[in-house]
Amino acid sequence: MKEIADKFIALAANKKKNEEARSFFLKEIEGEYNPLLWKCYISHMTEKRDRFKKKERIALLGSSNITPVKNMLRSVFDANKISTDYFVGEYGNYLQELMLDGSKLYSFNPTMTIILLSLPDIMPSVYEYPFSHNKKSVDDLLAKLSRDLRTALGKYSSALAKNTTYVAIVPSYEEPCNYVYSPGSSFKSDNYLMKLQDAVESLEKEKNNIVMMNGRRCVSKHPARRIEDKRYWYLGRIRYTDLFFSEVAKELMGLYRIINTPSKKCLILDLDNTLWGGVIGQDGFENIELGQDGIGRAYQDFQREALKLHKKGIILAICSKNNESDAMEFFKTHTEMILKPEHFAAKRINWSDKASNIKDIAREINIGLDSVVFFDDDPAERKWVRDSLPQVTVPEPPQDQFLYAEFLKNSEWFKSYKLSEEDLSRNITYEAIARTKGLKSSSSNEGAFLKSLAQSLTIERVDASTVSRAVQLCQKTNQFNLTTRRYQLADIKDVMSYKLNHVYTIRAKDCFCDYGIVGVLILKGQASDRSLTIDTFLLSCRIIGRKIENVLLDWVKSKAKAEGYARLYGVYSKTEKNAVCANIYKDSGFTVVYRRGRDIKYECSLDKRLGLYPFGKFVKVELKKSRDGKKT
Amino acid sequence: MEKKLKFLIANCCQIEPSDVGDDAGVNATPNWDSFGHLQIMVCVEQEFGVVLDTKTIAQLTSYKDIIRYLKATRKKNGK
Repeated sequence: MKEIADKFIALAANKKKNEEARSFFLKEIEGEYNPLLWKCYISHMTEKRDRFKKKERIALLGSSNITPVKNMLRSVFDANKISTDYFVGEYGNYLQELMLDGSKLYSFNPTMTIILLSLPDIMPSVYEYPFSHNKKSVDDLLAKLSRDLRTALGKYSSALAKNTTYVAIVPSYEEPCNYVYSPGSSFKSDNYLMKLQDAVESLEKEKNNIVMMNGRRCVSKHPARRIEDKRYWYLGRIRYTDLFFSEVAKELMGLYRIINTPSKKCLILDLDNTLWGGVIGQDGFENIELGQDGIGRAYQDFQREALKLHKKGIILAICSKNNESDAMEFFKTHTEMILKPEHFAAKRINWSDKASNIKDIAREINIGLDSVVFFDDDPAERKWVRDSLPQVTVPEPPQDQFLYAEFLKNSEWFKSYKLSEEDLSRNITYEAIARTKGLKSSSSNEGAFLKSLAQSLTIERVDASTVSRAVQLCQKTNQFNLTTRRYQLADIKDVMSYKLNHVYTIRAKDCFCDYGIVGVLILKGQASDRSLTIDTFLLSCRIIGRKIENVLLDWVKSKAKAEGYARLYGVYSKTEKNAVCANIYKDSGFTVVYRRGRDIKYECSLDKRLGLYPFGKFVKVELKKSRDGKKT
Repeated sequence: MEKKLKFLIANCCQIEPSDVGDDAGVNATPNWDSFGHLQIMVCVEQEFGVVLDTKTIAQLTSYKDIIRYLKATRKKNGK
């Protein structure tokens, strides 16, 4: 153990090697617990006060003495280049600290609050005098504790909006009734733990700055005697060993990273020796390792992990050096494949270099290279991609291919704290897009393609149930957004207050799926010169390139003409990202009125015959009356 | 053994090993307070492979005490 500490100190002593010292420490603490190494980190690294840009003010509240966790947290945060300041609350006093506005805790003004609770501390009477209790008294006590905890946490999290509170209830090895093997559910530590965790979790759903930490993960890797130590309890009211506190620090750091770093969005996979064992071009299909038993099972498990990620909303893609027809044939004919072609939003199966292919894939599915993870068994390919595209994450997989699935499962890149509805539905859309792309190449002409898609659009006047989605689209749509006006809720309401103005949402559907609301259209009428202006026109990038935009503009033209307007105006304001819609007005028969800076104003006269998009008839457009019954 | 113990105390107390003299102990050495003491004891157990009982932890409050204890233990174990 001292040898490791010595090695660390040598790195820490050399300022040029501090970066190396940090990663050495982070790697070592994943292995066998080494108390000396932790102490060395504090005395050789954090004392240098390399102040980092990123800072956290951390308050520690425990039901017993949790001071040892302070230096350990300081070390792991420092190793991740985050400076930290601490407030350690008086132990056992956490409820009062949380409830009293004027407490030292509030004046410390933390950005992170960590609350570590132990069952024997918070319900001492049950643990000390279990035979004076019965089911009802235990239930009453748990109900009161839950209430108190919820009240205190609720108040605290509302008062300190910038603070995130991490709550952990530590599973107890100690049982209230040790002398009875089966004392009934009222006397089991695990039941208390579950009830109290439920109370915090229900609050966590309401407040976004409360995080429930999994206390079990801090104790489950070690036997009881290495977690609880009565000697320190009697000498210093410290219930747990340093080993336990080091686990807490690591767990918290992991959770902190999950919460504070955006998860990767896309996993690009190689095929040969990654999804299956062997090379299909050389070994022949019958010799490929993939199946229920033996070695093949390891590859199947890896595919299962990738499929789980797909279902969680991670986009999958293929980048492989192969003949595309061979690879696709294998996908189609091999019965043991878990992943199917439709699980991949993009495929680059060819002989060009992988870096260009990856760049292409990212462009195709509209994501940044920094949200891509590329998984390949071949070290040369990994190096090539790493060197040419440093933004892409290229993991170093384990030597042993049997461990690929475990490696993926335990990796950090795709973890998120909660699962959102959007995550779950994302890939349904991407699958549909992938299928429409298949159609596009198989349909020989545009009209046939559009006909086979069977798209239908529903235009609806915005109402209370859809306005928040409209605002969200205004805020986030970058690519197909002609004017990029970032309207807030109040702005939309303002626009709607004038009777010649209309705010519409657009829903899209095709033969594959219902995309939900994918666009916003804001029209402003002017009675004086009988003109209608397209103030905002935006569409989600998921459905660009299927002529919906042309059909919608035609709908606006026809509607304006029918309502007696003489001309239609539209503006294209150029931004860094909206080149995709630069020509939409020109293509739709508008003429330029003027160019001013980034803006081009277009006009379309409605007096003459309207030039409509020829294949528009293949897209169904329906204007739905709003729910409140007003005419739109 | 002496050098290793001083190294260990230094790192627990966040001072230089050269600043840990033979007279080091609770309240005489910076950061060797009741909390620092427990930190030192954790490392002593780990690095010297001993298990200290509660009373011993409470008593080994100086560098000399610890050295004496370690030597006695070593003798008892016949090393």
